[in-house]
Amino acid sequence: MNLTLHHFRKEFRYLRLRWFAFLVLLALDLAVNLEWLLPLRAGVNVPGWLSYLPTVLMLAGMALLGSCPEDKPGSDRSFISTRPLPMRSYWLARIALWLLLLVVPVVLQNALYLLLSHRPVSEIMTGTWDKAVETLRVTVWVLPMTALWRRGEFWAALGCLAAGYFIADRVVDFAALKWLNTSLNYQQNPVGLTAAMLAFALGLLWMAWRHQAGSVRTFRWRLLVMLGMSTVCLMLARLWPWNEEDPPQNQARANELAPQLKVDVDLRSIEFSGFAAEWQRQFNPLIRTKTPDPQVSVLLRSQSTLIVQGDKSSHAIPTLSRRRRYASFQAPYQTLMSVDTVLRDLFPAGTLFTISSDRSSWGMFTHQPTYLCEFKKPLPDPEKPLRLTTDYEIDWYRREIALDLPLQAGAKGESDGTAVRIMEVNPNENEKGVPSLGGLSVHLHVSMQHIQTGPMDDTTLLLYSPQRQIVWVEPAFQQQQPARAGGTGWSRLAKQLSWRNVLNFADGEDAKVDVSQLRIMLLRSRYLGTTGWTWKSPDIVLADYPPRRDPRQLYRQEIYVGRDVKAFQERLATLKAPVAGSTEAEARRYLYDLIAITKATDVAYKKSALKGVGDAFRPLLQNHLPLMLELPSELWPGWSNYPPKSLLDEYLTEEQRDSIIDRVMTNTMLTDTIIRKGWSETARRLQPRLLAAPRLPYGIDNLLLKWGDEASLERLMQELRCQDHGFSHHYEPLDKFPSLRPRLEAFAQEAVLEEVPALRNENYWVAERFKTAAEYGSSEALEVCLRWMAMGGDQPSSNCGLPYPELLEADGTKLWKEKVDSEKQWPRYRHLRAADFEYLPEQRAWRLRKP
Amino acid sequence: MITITDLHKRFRKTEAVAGLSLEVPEGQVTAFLGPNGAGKSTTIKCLLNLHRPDSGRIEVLGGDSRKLGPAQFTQIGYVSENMELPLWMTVKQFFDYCRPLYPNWDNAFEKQLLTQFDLPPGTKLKDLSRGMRMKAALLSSLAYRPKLVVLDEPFSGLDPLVRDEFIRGLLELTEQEGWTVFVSSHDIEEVQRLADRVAIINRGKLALDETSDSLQARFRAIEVVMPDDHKAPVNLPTDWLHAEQAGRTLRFTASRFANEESLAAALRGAIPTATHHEVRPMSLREIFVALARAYRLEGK
Repeated sequence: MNLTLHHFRKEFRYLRLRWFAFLVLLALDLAVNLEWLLPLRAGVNVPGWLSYLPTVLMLAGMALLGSCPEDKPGSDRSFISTRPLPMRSYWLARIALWLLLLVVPVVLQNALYLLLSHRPVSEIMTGTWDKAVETLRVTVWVLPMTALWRRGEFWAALGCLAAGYFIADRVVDFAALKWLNTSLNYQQNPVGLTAAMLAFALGLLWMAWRHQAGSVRTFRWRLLVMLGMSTVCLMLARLWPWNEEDPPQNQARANELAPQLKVDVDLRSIEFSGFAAEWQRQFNPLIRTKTPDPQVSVLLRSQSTLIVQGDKSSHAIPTLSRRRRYASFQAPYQTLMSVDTVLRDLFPAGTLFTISSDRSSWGMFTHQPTYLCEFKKPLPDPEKPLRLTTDYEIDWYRREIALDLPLQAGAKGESDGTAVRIMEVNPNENEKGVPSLGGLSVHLHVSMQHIQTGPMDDTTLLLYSPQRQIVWVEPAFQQQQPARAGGTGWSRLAKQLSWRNVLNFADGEDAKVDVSQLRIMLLRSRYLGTTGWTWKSPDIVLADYPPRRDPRQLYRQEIYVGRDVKAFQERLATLKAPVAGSTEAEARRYLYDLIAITKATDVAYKKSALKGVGDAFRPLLQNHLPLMLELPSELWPGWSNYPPKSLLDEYLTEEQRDSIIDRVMTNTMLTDTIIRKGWSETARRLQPRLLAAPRLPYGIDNLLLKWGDEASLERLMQELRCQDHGFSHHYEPLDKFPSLRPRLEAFAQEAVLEEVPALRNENYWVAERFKTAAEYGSSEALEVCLRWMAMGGDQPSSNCGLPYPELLEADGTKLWKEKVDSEKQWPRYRHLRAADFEYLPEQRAWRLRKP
Repeated sequence: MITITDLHKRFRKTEAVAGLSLEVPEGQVTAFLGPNGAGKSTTIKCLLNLHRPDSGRIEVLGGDSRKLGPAQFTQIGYVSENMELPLWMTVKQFFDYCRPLYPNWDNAFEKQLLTQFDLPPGTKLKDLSRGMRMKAALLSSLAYRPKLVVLDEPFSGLDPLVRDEFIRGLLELTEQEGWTVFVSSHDIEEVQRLADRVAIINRGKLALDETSDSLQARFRAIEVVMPDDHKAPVNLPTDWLHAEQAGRTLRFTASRFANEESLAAALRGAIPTATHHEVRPMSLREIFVALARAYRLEGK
């Protein structure tokens, strides 16, 4: 013990000036963190050097430990190596130096910071403990490292270690992406990180011991071994156990809610187009979930699927990226099934949601197919029934408004580890302080307790105008200064946010918003926990789920855009049309070339080319009709009432009727031919099969509409639901049957219940559903549509959809004028309310009560 | 005191020590000589357990060198030319640090050495000259009266005056204390006054191990005068080293000299025409140079 103290004293004497400098740095860091120096101020950027302070502190700490080069036992030149100082005393003295000179001051500084930040005792204790663990973890490897290397070697090895870490990190990322098909999380799991650091420290200790015991190796050898060890430890840290999550915050609540979760796996939403392409092998039904708590949403992750067909069975295991939970899903803007309705329901009904940025990270999807499984070779027979048993993990998330502050300078609040103070509010200004009519710029001071997650990782700030009933879920601009006191347990940062068109519309019209009435809200998403769930399918025949897509869209090519007709004529001139005596091979070759030409252009959809197209196909229809009837639907070009489809009617005779009807299930293009030829009643023999089919093939709806009986209409109503309530044009043909009107009305309004009125890119289907609901008499939907249309000029990009319900002037003319610029029409909607209209059920339109 | 048996040590492709066997007797000063790169420092590092031998065995103070620990180091003093000293310390601080490490540290002896070496206690080691620094290192390795003193090229880079002082000091002490000293050098001139024994290492192997007296007794410088236009025969005895003829005079080193009579008989047999010859004793340095040249020729 005496020798330990003796050696400690000697080292301390050497280090005391450096240690003092280190303490000065710590004091500087404390003053900066507490904002005694360079306080965070609105619009004032902190000097760049401040961000290097933690790095300087870390290097200063390493320099402390790496000092006393003559005492390094790893060196065969060191004076100490042939002196009778027991290694136990040497190491105890080094450990005492490490703890007393480095760890204790850092931990005490952290505790002092938390104390002076007026944090509660529990947080001070937790923060101090976390800091102690972190400091020990981060520096423990430096001790054996200093024993291993000689004077200059230490810093050279440190540099190589940093470079090696950088390269290995990228390689590990690349390998994970390439072979595991997953990207690794940068949020290191503290346990994994500690394990990796300890492993690395032990490895270095082993090397130092071996080196010290006389097994002296060259610098290059030691460097390579150390880099190898650091790579292994890096992988340990990055992959520990896949580093996927921060711990559940309320697993008990997730367990409690799990039995009441309603999960509806909608098999009818599946579209199967054969296994030809890789992407067609996935099986992604629409899964609707309903949790008992309206603020809680779930995310399903398929873990494995047992596929049983006849006496064969196989397991489909999804890739790791599908199986694992990403901690980042906790971020409120991540896309989660049905989660945006949770956000919607946090605000009064009819609130509009908008995103000022056209590059938003918000998903705002309500329904998306959920991955179930992927079929692998040997592929199952799509014509035979199979059964699936899928094990899911269900992640439970809860969204809540954690803070609700009036938008006034000085307003502040704190909620569960996050404190927000509004430093400055600048109406009619943009982020650069430049006047911007209707814009709004806000400076915030944000402090956060959790240091492991990135800033604002599980929270986000929303701007809400109760007067306009609008929530801006993402600002047009946001910038934050580097966080201070990161890793202390209470980090601070200054954040600037700005929005556009809040106080005025984009065209300058006053939106009548009182700034003091605006609210800034902190939305939090909590990961409650994960539960398990198993789904067992009924018998599924994949072939019974044909795709519901217009074949035209599948094959449309655009290489001849603008010169379709000319290109068609030129290429047609090179073909030799078959005659009655031509062989089948000749006819088939002509057909192949003809389809290639027509599919390569849009000519079959252009009126000017109809005659040419008809003439080109006519020889085939005339002389080789069986060949044409074999042609699948998707290969027939043009609309159903355009040639060549319309020409088919001319060449079909009564003799071919039954054969045509038999083909219609697989070649739905013939549906319209059957109707046009007046064979629909004969085709009624197909009705039982169609009524029983889980999905109707695309295009066959017209046959059921033609029959118009109760069972057929019921089947079409079911199909409408399968299409996730469809678009308004799906309602049109059904609306012609008065008996269906009440159900269509209910349907339209039900569709809106699952949607979030969000002004964002490619939100066409949302707009469509509000439009349909309004047209079926929903005054609430009409109110939303009117406010939505009023913001026509404020949408974040041109890819946004607007709902245009049928609105009429008092005199019955259309409110929306076709030939007037949209920009001139949108302002009118700002002054219209649903109460100004009366509903005209027969026209499915709303008419202004007064001119 | 030190017994080295068939020591092998290799650094990647270089075989630094190749089967060295050597005995260092107690109470004597053994000079361990060899040209640069011969394997002297590696051997010393192996015997002090700073490097682990690939094979072979070394006994130091009666124990295995691999098990040398603090207990053995209290009896071993080691000074090396490239030893990293705590240069930030003053001479006094340095001795203050070393003192508690050795139970048998002799304060009076320390003071005596301090005076003898003329070391300024208040000066930092980094401000001392190289020679003074070596003296401080030596003092810190002698003040506890070690049984074995190992010096690895201690005189390298010292100016002649300092070297002389250093050697004189060491000589006095070794005679006085009866220490066993194992001192390596690439230049015999540095150690010829100290050495009781000389061991020469060449290319990792022991080339010679003999007492200085015996060495000086068996080496002689010979000059033979021959008649005009007489050439010396080609096949001279193999123990006559570096035979060179200049005019009528043939010079060589006799490495197995016993006495004048036997030399004269050998000359008569080898060079019958020789008119007369002269025999001169050689210094250790001359012997070392002659041997070093011979080893170099052997290597070629």
